[in-house]
Amino acid sequence: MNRSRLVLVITVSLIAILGAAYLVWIGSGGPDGDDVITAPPVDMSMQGVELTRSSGDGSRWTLKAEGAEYQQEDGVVSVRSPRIEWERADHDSVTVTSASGTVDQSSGNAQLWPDVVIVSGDTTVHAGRLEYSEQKRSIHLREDVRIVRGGLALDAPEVVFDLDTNVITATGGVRAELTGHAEPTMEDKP
Amino acid sequence: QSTSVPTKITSQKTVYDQDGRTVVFRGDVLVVRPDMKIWADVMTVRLDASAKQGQPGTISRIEATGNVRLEREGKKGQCAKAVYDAAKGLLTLSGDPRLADGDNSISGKVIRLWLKDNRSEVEGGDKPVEAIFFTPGAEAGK
Repeated sequence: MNRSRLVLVITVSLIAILGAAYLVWIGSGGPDGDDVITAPPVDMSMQGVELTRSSGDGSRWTLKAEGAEYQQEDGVVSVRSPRIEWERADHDSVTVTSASGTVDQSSGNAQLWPDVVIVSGDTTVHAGRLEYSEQKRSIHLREDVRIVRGGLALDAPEVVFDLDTNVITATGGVRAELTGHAEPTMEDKP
Repeated sequence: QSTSVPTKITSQKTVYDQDGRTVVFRGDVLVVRPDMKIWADVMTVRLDASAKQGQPGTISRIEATGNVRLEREGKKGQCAKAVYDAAKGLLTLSGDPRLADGDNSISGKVIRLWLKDNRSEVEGGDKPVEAIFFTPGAEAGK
């Protein structure tokens, strides 16, 4: 066997032996084995992601993101700067953006945070955190939620947006300010 | 000349129906405007269709129901239901309405308040309008 081939065989064998030894060492709970592997292994890392999911009733959501990490074991996609668009059969579309988020591929549920902004027709909603439930077809918003539509500004700690009925319910103590047309009051009279 | 008067509303819960353009406030509802305060159990605000993105939405109608109380320029009112029509500047009180200005008070079946002209009208219906006025200096029993 010529000299270079011999060297190659020896090198590969050494790597194999070292690798096996390392795994055995970790498997035996070597010093703080769990701490050494803190982040779940990332199966796939992508740039410029687009995911689409349709529902039977003609609605569909499309997720676009600057970047994403897909963890096969959990079926979870972690996304950076996501932008989700819900196209709905009989209502205005809903567009959601945030700084980051996760999407569970199996359930279709999503969580977005922070700096969540939702635009639906004339209405804009700001929140610190969003949770979308595919089963309930609703968006649950928390952390300084503000709803703005023309002259209506509404603040609440918690809001649920029903995507089927297009109804937004705010609870936990609501403060609203309406600036609409109003006749002159006594003081305004010339 | 119509001015845009900020109306602040607080409540325990609010349901905003985007399609129906109605906002329903429930539980300890309090409305505060520069010229008036209104308390009620439930308040429904109907937004005009003309609101466009970023433009102030216009209120076309406010309906307050359940333990309605209001205070305006020293006068106090109470009733079961109050409806405010923004275009007419008309506040209509019904459901045993009563208006009091100090010791003087008036009640009837329906009380209408034209806020622009500070004019009011009381409708008796099946029982006469009841008005109680105290003339200054009159002593009880003389």
